[in-house]
Amino acid sequence: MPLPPRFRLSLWPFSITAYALGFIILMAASFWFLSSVMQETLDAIRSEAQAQNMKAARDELDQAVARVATEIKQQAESLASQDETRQQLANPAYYVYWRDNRALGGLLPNFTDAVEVYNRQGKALAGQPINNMPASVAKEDVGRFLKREGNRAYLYIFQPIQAVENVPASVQGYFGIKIDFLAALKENHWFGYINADSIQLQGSGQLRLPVDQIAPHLVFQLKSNPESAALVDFFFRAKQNIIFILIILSATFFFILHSLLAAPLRRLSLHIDALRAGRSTLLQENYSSSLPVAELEKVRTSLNDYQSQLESMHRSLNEKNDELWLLAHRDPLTGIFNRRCFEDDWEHVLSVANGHRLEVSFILFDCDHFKAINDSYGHQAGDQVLQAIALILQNALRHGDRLYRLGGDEFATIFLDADPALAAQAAERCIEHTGRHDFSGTGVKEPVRISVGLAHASGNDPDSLAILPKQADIAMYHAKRPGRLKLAVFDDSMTNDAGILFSTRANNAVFDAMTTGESIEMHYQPVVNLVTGEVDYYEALVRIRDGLELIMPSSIFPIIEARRLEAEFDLAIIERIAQDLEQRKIPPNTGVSLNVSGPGVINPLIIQRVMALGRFLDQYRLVVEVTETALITQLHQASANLNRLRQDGFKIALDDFGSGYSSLGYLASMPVDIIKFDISMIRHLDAGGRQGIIVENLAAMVIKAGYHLVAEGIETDETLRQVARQGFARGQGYLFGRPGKTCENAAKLPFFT
Amino acid sequence: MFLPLQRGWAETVEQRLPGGIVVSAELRAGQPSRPAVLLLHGFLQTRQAPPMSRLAAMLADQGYTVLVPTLSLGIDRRAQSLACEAVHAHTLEGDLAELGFWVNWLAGKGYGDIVLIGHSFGSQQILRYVAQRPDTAVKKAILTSLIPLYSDSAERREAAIQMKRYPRSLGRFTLSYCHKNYVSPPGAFLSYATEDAAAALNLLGQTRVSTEVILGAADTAMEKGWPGKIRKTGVRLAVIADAGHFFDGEQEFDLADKIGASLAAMAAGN
Repeated sequence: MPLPPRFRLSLWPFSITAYALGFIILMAASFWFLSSVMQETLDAIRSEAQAQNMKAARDELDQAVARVATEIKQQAESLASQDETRQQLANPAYYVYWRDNRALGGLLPNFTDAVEVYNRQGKALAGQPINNMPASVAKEDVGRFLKREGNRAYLYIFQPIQAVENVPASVQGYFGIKIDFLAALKENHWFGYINADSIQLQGSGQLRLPVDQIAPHLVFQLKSNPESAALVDFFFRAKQNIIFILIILSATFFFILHSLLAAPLRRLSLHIDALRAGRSTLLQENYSSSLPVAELEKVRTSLNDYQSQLESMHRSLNEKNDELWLLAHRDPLTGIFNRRCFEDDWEHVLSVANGHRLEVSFILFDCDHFKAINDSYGHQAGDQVLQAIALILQNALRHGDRLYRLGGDEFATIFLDADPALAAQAAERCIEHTGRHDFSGTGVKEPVRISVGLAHASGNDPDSLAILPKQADIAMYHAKRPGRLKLAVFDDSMTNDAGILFSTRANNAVFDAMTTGESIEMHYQPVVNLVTGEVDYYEALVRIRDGLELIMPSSIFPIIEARRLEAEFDLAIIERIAQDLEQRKIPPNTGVSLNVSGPGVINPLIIQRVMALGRFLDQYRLVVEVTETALITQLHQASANLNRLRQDGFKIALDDFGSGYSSLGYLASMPVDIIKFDISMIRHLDAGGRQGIIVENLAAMVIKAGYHLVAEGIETDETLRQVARQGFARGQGYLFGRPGKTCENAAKLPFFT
Repeated sequence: MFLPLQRGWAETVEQRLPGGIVVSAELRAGQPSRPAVLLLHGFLQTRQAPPMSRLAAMLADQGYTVLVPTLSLGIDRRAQSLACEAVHAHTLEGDLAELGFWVNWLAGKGYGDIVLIGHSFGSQQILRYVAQRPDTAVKKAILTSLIPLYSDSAERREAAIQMKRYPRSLGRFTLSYCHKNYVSPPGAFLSYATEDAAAALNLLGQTRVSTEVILGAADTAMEKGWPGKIRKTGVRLAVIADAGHFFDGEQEFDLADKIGASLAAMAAGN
């Protein structure tokens, strides 16, 4: 019957030790069987020998009894016929002396218990016979008989004393002796088969036997047969010796088998298991000694060779793994750690810092307008800029600080257990070093700047620690805002601003709009000629439709800028405006101004698309609005692109003038035709005072320099009159009309009547 | 009891003594014309003891009537020599009485010439007999290996004392070859113990018949100078060279020749 699987697993296959034990047990069982057979044969031989010995012993006893009885009888007869005996009958005066000293003193053997002489009438010569000898005997008592007295057997012999030998009539008396018969047997006969000391008269009680019935009533024990005993002893000793030898041989066999086969095989097995578990190196050190069995030694050698090859492969794999790790964790462009490495490290930081009072600072670096640089100077220049920034940052950071390239132009580092002020100093040092670096070697003429977002958290605050990168990102967003310092440290006030930026709904809407362009709505706000009151052109303002709601630019552009999607978004807007122009949603003899982002200004594709709108120039005035920040950052490239547009007939408007640096020095070098005073400037003008005077003079100076001015934020008649008085050519604001999906005429104002 | 004599054949003669004890002797009938010879055995012996048994046969062959009794020593039909350790209640006087009984018995048979031949202590007994009151038929005494009985004087004194106090008590004495194992009442012991060398020499001077002494030159039981002492008594002495106490071997024939010669001389009237 096959074993159940559970037992097969635990019992099968057997170990060498089990086989060895099995062999030993089989050998022991065989020996036991042979020994039992031999013992049985020996017992049979012994039984047969004992039976033969018993028969021989019985014969021996019969002969001994007969012989001894006869000898005693002869001795009795001899003594009865002695002259001395007859002398007692003739003169019994000294009978007792003779009986005790003469008869019992030497004439009869020492096993004679008693002697008595009786006269012709059968009366004892001694008045008191000794040792139970009868006081008188009768003729019928003459003869021999055995009598039990107590536990002894006595042979009584009564012999007539004849005056003349062989003449019964001459009987003078009787001679009686009492013999301890068993003692006589022992003394007078050497027994070959019988243990003489064991001879006993069987039964108990009174017993009187004739001589010829003595032997059958005797019981005895056989002498130990020396040959048989020697044979048994020899067999027992031989068995003992064989058992001892077998034990020694078995132990030796087991030890040899265990030492030569089982233990090495077990070690080999463990070695292979260890190899499988990946602990081969340690085991190889312990398993270097050679094995005493050639086949096992061959296995060991082969295994070690195999292990050696395996280790070689393992080392090679480790090297490859190291390389792969480097490839996986190093940024191939800059050579610094990549985003994957950052994620691993960050996960490690979280696990290490979590629950401890460990200050963690996360510093996020971002190259300003990198996309514009990339687009303007090509990817190669962009790559060189990134390599240079990576090198600058690495040198500016402390030795051992890991610098990660998270993607694009975004870098980051983590400060563990460092004072937040120290992290801020490091960040400022990075900004300073980058600002001082000469990037001309990369072909980039403009200064390259970085913005830094810094966030701190303690390991005791795991929630904050988990969103530390996000906080740094928000801070980065703030740092990038125009007019801000290039370093921003996250605080809770930034959270609200970031709400939009990190609003999933807004993000989705923006990305959907960029992908499909369908949800982008262009709202047009009239820019009115302040002389005629007619619409000179419409400023195209972007909205994104999200269901029934509209997402306004204040929510759109933080997302666009944060995601570096200015160029893409510019393209979408240009596409939408082109459609509106194609569909003649813009009234004839007017125009449209479109806003181009800073990166867009230096983006050849954007410029190309804008220039493509030149086909409408014969019907519309087309104005490209750019911010002064965009121009200042990439002034050279921007100027070149804007000049190309101007050459094609586009007008260039500097948007939001006065909201940024508003450097007059830069203004002079900017290729713009129109300057749109920011609403803050217009309000200063309304407010009067020193700022109003500055704005008035500034406007006058700009007009004098040949620029057309557009006043933004005109919401009241007073403002209208004020800007008109200051020479502004055009105005824009709710007073003339709010932005709408359709181009509405400007409100008819009394000012113009 | 009278048994008819048949010449040459040995026959046993039994006689009941007055005390009731039956004694026996071996009788070989010879020529009536020749003297009858009575051979007496030594101390505690029987007629079967050497040299008497063989000497009897040789004398019988020469035509002598030979009677060889066995002294009873108090034992009915005694036929065996008596061990030293046996109880010896017999006395020298009893022995002499039995000797006299057999001499009388021979004389009663018509033997007018009787020669008494003794051996060892039997010679001493015959000497004592012929020195006291021998039968008239006794004509000669031949004493072979005449040796007195040895006894210890202290024992004799002690026995004398015991005999007075406890005459029936048994003692162990030294007598002849029985060394401190002769069991006997003191009186019985003393009856033999008095037969010492002096008594023997004295008796030799008192014999009433012709007496000859034959000794063995090599008789170790004989004290030194014993033959000379005997010779001094005037008794005829013959010493057979190389003969021991029992005249074993070829000395047996020398003894027979000596005795034969002595008997022949007696027949011749010498």
